[in-house]
Amino acid sequence: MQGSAPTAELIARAEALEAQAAQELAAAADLARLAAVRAALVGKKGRVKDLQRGISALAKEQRKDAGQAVNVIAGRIAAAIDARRSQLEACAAETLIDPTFDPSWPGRRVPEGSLHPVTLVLDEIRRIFTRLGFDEVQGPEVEDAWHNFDALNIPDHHPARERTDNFYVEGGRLLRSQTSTVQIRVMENREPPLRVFAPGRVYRPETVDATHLYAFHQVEGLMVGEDVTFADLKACLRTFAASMYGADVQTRFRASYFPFTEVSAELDLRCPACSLPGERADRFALPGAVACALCGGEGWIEVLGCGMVHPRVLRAVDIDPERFTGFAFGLGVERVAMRRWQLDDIRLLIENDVRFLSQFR
Amino acid sequence: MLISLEWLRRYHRPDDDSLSPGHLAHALTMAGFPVVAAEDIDGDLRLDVEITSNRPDLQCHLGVALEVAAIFGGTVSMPDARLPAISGDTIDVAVEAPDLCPLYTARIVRGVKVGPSPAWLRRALESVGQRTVNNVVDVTNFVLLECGHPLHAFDVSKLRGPRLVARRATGESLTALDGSVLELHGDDCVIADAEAPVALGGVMGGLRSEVDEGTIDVALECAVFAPLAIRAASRRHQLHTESSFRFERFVDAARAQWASDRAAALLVECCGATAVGPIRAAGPRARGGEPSASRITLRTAQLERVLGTPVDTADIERVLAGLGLAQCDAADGYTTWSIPSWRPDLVEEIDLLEEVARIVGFDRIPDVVRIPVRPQIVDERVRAATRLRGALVAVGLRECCTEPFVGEGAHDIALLDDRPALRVENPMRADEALLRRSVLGPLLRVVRGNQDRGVAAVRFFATAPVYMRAEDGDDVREWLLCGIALTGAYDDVKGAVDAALAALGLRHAVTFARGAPSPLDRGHSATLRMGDEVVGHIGELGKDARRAFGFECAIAVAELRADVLLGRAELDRPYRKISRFPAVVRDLAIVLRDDVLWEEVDRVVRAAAGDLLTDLMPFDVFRSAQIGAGRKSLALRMELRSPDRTLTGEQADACVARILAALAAEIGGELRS
Repeated sequence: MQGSAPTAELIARAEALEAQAAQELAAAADLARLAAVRAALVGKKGRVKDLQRGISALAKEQRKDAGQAVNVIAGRIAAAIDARRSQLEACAAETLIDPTFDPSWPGRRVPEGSLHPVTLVLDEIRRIFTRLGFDEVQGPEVEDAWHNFDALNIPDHHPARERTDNFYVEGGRLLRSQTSTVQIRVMENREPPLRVFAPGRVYRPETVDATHLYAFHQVEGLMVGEDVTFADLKACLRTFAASMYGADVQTRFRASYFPFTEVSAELDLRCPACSLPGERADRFALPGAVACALCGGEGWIEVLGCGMVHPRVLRAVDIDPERFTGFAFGLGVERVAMRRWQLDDIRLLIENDVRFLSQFR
Repeated sequence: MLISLEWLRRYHRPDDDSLSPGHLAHALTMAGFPVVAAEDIDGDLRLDVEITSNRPDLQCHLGVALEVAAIFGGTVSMPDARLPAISGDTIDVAVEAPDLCPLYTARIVRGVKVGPSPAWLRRALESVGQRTVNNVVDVTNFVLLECGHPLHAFDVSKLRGPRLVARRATGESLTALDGSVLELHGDDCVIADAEAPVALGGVMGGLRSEVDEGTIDVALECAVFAPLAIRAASRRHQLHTESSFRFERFVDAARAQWASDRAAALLVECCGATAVGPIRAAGPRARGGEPSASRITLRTAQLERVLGTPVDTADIERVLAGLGLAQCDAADGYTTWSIPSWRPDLVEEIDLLEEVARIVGFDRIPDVVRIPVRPQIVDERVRAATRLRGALVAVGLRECCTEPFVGEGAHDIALLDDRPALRVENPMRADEALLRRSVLGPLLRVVRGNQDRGVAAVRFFATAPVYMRAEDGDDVREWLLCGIALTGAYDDVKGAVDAALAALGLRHAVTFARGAPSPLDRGHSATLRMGDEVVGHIGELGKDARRAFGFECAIAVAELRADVLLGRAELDRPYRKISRFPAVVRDLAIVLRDDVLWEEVDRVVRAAAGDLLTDLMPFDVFRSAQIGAGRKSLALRMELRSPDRTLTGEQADACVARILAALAAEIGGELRS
């Protein structure tokens, strides 16, 4: 640019003003002082206006270039004012925070409800067996001897019918000692194929201690059809165990005895807490090994009893065992809850102490 | 059953010497007999094996040896029961109670020298925790633990007369070996000499005929008693012995002779007996001889049908022969087996099938199979129950698991029905012998328990069955009830009940009428009905009940017929359209008779307003002299909206006018001036 002397002088004034403005802005410590500085710079009688008025004093042919240069500088000054204002506003907001405000103070209490841990476990079992195609059914708790014993291949005089093992009610009935009674009721009333499960409470006169209750919950399951096999039993219950305890859970089926099933088995889980090698069970070569708190040193935890429905049970409900076969299982619910939450005393589940119940949702 | 590994090895020789105790324990566990403990006893290993009740034959070392051989192979050798020449001495036996004692045998063994047992015998008994007494008693105990047959030795010199009789006791008493005096019962089977009982048969011998240091000749009893008789006697006299334990289950009559011979042979070997007399036997099993062995046919195809996988004939034969069954017939597709006398549990095909599956091992059965999918049959009641629980939790109630039993008195609440409670014949506690007729008794106990532990304010619910005797005969009525108990007033529990009913879609289907039975406070309680049917009660706990339970604060409760409500729940009602147009809110103050329920006002207002009414709540009620006695002023707020246009002032006024007219006509309500 070929500027004349007056033009150059005007631009030099503008640049000087910009530098001075920068100093004044920096010195403006709060918004009020900034407002004063701003007025002195860009107000109607401000120094920027003075400069701009200086343009009109120039020769006509010089006005365009000088005006452009001065306006660029004026724009920069205005931007510097805005930047300083944002800065000061942010600082001001900072000082607005009330140091006595406690955001961590507990929120207003609303009454909290909770489901019983047994219900939580039951709901989960429900979900799994529903997914496996089992329908939920219910049966009465006060039962007759036919459904609790006879039909389940527990004949007269069998020790399982003793008064030491059952709560008898006046009139010859009893509180059911197992949910297998519901199997019978279902088979009496429906035709195979059947796939049902029956959650419910059962009663046995056990001395109550840290591991025993006289009333506890079971889930009974039953599948009957024209070609239901022990392989189906294994598949269903393995799937259940994997759903309940994680896909990598180790299980085993061990022979057992129940009057109402044959072939009978017990499903065990590999104890997650102890590191004994499973199949070898070599602990027996080393008597006195320290017992695991969870499995008692067995290496395995009993989960449920199961088996193929005994042909006598099928015959008792007029189902032809030559045409239909089936499997059944029974699972203790409190034991699952105890393992899940590491309860060291089963009585916690019937004491209904709010301090206990409030830990479950 | 305690099993000594060393003792077991007397009979079982494995084919493979590397068979470790760990393998053995594992295999027994997997075959159905969990080894729950193992202990080193002076260099021997003692296994605690759980024997299931269907396998009495495994209550001895020989039985377990046979089982182990069936699993692992190897040979089982029977111990030596050969006797020296039989000498002529006999003792006469008779059975006068054949129902209690199917077989009674005895023989005379002369010339025993009573003293300590030889070291091997002591070691064997001690290895399974048995106390050694003297060589004669130890021999009988050893044979019991060897083959499962209990035996008893009498000192012949202490017996009166030449005859032992198994008969019912007749008001006698017996001093048993442990010194206790047993008052005998008419159903006790005793063994008596000419004078008196000398043993409670199958349970315990008598002190009078005890073998001691002076004994020279013994009468060796080997009998079979009826399981139920022994169970009853054992319970009556609180005597549970190794002997009674086995007779209660099963003792193999067919092997009684062998057991007697084996014991006699050991009396010769260990006690220096000089003469063994012939066996005398009485009882039905002695006369009739042995029942012929039963036979069972196992179809090979049935194995696959039940197990879901085929099993080779060779495996079937190996397992069943290994367990001591004798194959008596075979053809294409089946084998027929003769059942040994010690396996009374094997009666039909499935029993053999299970033996094969058990010994072959469940691991052989696949667990990856296709199970067809099927539609789920949803039980609406289950859905409704879940909904109900959710609603009660949402209003801040905690679910409880309650006791089924109550005592007479304050805990035996019967709100919904006063049919008599059912009595439990053998309750846990004598003073809690009734089955609950209401969930409230047990729930109030939970409230009480928490207050005792320092938790003052609580809100609980429980869904549980209650039981009553039905009026017709000995039938039982079982209802599912939902109980609520909380610290608070009527309004508190009413809010919870409102929420519960709303969750079931029954908010307006249930009516509340003043008053409920004791123990609710008559003035602050209500009876809930659907139509004419009573479906619940709600109210504050009356003074008497509060005192009985020891409550110092107000307690409000409710009890609902969950079974009825769940069955009638409307879970999927069509939704109610939401108006997009602004609301007109109108407040009304109505003066009406003091006893008119809100429920009636609500019903009349809703009916008169029709679709326009979108919300209705009372917000004030008061009584004053100005309004007049027996009357109250009720302030209510209505929200009116039209579903399809903005409501004008005139339209709202017309609606209010309709409401006022209906209130006046139906329940005598008038606008307060």
